[in-house]
Amino acid sequence: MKKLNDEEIQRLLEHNLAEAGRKDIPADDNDLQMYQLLFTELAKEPQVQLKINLSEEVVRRIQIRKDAKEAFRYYVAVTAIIIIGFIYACIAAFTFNPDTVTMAFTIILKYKWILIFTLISFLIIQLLDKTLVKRV
Amino acid sequence: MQNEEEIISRILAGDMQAFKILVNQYEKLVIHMVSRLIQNKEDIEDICQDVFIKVYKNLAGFKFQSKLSTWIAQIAYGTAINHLKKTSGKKSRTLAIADFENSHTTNDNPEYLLSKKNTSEFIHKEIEKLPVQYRTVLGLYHMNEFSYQEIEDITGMPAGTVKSYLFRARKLLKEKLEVYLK
Repeated sequence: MKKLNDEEIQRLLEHNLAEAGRKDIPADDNDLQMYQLLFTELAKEPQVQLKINLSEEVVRRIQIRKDAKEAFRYYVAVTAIIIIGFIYACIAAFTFNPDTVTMAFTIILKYKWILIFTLISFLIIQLLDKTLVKRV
Repeated sequence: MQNEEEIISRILAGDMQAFKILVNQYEKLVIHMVSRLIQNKEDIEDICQDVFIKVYKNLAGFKFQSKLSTWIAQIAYGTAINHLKKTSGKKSRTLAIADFENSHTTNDNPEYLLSKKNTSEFIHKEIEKLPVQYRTVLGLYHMNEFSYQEIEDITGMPAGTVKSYLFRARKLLKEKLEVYLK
């Protein structure tokens, strides 16, 4: 009886022909037995157990990213509104009363630190509100 | 099992419960694939999470040109390989194919001898020592039951190379097993 080579045995097992009981396969073929054992082990699932609940953890991380994106959009929108409002006020003042613009800039320069402090405080309060306050 | 198209459209509409269903459905595939390539358990957890985050972000681009499992496996493979490339600076336990096939050292250290008590454990320890390409094709073909063509789609290796790697990996393992069982 012809002895099968490695390639033939592998092809045979890939097609599960061994189980179908082929007559030309010697039952005591050592290589075939080795390969059969190997194929059985290769099909076994590895014993990997994750400590986390994968779906819960993935959804939690996606939610954090979504929240961060939303927060970023919110701050961009607030900043844009403030800038546009300021430009609009300047244009309006310059159109109707140019002296007011000069006066406004003088006041802004005079109280610049108070204005900067107010702006930073506002942003910090907004940031703390987003991070510390838990929404129900 | 719910229809994949229906689940995907629910996810795209913002239904996170539907996404949880999808993760639960494919977590085994991803965990098995990643754990074949990466040995550190914490890294496996992180990579599995990254894979599903990528799946979520790119789901709108999935056009059903392949099976969803093939597409997810493709992402898992890419993510795991990128991780291996990033950490390749560190000492790797895995040899390159050429180095592996040229090394025929006898392993008679105590750890190795201890593993001899169990054939199954022995085979799985030997699989872990195989080059990454061999472990990839073995896992995808035997465990996940992907076809040669699907493995080509997932890994980018030509089907002929996949076949050849599979043959050589099995032959190497069979030879090791023969020595072990003598």
